[in-house]
Amino acid sequence: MIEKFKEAFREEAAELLTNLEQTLLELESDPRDPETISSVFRTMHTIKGSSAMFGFDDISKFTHEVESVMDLLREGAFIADRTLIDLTLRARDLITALLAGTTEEHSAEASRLVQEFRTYVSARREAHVAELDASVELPLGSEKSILEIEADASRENGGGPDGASYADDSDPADVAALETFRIRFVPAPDVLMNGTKPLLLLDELRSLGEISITALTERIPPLSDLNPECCYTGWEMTLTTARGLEALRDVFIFVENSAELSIRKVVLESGAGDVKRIGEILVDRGVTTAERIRSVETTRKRIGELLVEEQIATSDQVKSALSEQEHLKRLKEKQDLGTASIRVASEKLDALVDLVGELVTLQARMASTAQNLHDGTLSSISELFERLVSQLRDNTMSIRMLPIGSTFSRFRRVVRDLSSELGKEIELVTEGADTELDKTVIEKLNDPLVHIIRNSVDHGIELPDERAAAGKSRNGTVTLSAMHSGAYVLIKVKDDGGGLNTESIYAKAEERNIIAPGTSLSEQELFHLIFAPGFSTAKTVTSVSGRGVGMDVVKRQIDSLGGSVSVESKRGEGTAITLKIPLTLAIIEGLLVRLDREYYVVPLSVVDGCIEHRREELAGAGKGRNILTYRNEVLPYVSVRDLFDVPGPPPAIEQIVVVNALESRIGFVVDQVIGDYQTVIKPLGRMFKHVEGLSGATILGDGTVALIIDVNRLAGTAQREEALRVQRDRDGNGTRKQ
Amino acid sequence: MVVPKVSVKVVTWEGYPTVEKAASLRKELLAALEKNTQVVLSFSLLDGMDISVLQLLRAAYLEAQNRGKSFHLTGTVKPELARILVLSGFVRQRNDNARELEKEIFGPVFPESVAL
Repeated sequence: MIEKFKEAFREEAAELLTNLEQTLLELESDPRDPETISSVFRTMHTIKGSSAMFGFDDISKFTHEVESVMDLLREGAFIADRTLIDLTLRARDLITALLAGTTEEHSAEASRLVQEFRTYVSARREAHVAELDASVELPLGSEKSILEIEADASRENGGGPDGASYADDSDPADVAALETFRIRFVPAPDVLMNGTKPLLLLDELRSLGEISITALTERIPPLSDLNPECCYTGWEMTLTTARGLEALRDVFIFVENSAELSIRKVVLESGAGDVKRIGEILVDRGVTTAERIRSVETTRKRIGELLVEEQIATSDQVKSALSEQEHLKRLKEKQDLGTASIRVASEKLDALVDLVGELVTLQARMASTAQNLHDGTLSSISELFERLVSQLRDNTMSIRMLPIGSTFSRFRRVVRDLSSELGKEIELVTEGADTELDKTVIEKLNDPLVHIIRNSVDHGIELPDERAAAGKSRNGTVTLSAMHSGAYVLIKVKDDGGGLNTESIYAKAEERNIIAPGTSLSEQELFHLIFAPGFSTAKTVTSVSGRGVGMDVVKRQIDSLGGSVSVESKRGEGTAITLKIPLTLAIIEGLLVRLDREYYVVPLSVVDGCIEHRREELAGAGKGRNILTYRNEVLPYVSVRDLFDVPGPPPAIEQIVVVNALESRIGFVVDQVIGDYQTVIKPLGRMFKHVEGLSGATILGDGTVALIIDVNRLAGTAQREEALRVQRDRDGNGTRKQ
Repeated sequence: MVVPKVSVKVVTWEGYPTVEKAASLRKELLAALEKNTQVVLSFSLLDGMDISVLQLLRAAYLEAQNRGKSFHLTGTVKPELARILVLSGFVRQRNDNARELEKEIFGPVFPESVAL
């Protein structure tokens, strides 16, 4: 039993330490922020308390030392500098290592760090002695008792039960300290003519906290009545910030005389209960009265539409109120996080997804049975069932979705450490951190992203002097962004470095025999050479990168996720690598094909096109080699029938599915292409795990099993077999000649 | 049977147009709507736009409706433009597909409410 608790502690501590890294980096950029300092202290305090409780004495003892320093910081004895952040980051790494078990090396590092912390504190004490309050005791010298520290923390947490760890970095107390404002800003029509840029103002507001912005666009007239220099747009915003009303007013200081501006504090409902209803928000805003809301509530339409129809509120007003409602809901979710969320083992979630997959399959089967039987009652039940199942599927999938931000925050440390190691000044900017992606996909993205970011920092961004000489700022920027694009998420790593050097890529590829001498390549093809195995243009092998492994691993891992990688680069301006990743791995869009009486699914993401052919024509065209002409290009093709030893004669007219596999295109010959198919992926049983060329299975509506083709592996197998065949032919010819 | 003549004009804007260019862009859209039954504006080469140009999009949609014609958006939205669209409050979520954003840009659409 205790092992179970210990494991839970390890998990929670690991999560706290991940957040701590982020908080420390924030502290480095804003060393005086009391919230951040308190957050670091609380994390240390929680880890210390919990580790002692579960018998991790080494961690508890070591964390106590760090916590004491953080307590001093909290008391304002000194201000955090880079050295302290470095030390604390090392301490954080050590605690992470200690969670896995204590070794002699760890103990030595712990003693070293404690000594360094002590030396640091005394040095800072001497430097700040004049400013220090004489009553402040230095715990590392004088052993401030743990009890005292606990009492402090207990006070800070509102005297609540201590030792409990928080599930995320935003503790409910922080949220309570925030204020929410409703802002209405309608600039004067001539605002654009006097050079004011409303978007900059919105950007400034956004920097104050979490904001929901709704544009009021109803005053925009049709094009023929519009004065292009006039501003017809206004905004309603809901902002949650810790910076207070004054900071908010400051943003509008230059425009408030020539704009309609109102800022009102939103009173949040305390305690349990739902977020404010849309009608309540509109009454609150003075748009209408509670009586009028009640009168329209009796009908069964959506209230927003009704209010607009009845001209009680304009669509802009309803849209803005809805946006506020969403904002408040998010805020409430954050407040409730401590109590309203539970930790569930990921295996349980996987099992749930699996069951839902079964249900989707069963539902498809029921629908097809109902259709075949022409049974009206069964059909209507089936339709109801379908609606429920699709809701259940969407809900279950959404449970697996996590914001990618947790992964992003890890890279700030990577960039920080690496850039200082290389003597570069680099900032990591992240965008779209709240973009959600399947948790399995997120986990698998970590390594490829580390490779790409390390490459950008090492090879992409130039040294400060080189940048200055090129007329750039000394500071380089790596931008990591994520955004949705249909059923995919685009993750882009962009640097403002020197860009890819196409000549040196070409020369290196030639030298490494990746391309034949004199091959003519397009710019895109040249860029893609960086993903070739064994490719590296670094002149020296560093500990950072330049070993020639990395980008090919990136490509392989992204391929295995069903995604793709693209490169854009401009000499002197930088490089951007974009990963296109499917939202989930549990369901894919597939192309259903038939071979004899068996069905197979080819992932649609790799399909380039389909063509039809007569078997004898194709056999004649290649003169013994399996090649075909597709869109003016000569491509190899392979018969899936032959590869899978499917019995029976092939049809006279076959179809070829052209897929992108292994850096090139290849045609798979099948009997018939049936069409696209939403494929719920089921893993193959243990017995079939190692079958070459198959990655899983799915169950079709009529209960038939269709196998999912692993395009890359199948293409690899085909290439190997083709090479063997050519070799055999050659050997055969050689023998005859002798 | 008389088949109505359909003519489609694809307008492509590029760079980061601001209020200085708004008048000429308005003129371009008006001319396109005058001569064609359907006008499609491509976002692919746009790096961004200011509020005056954003206003043109809704105005063009309204103009097309008044004339019984259609106005659509197409192309890939570059990241900076996607950021601007969300920041400006015209769009709620980043998306790189202009077509999927046109409903939000052209007029108030009600998001699914939590509790109506």
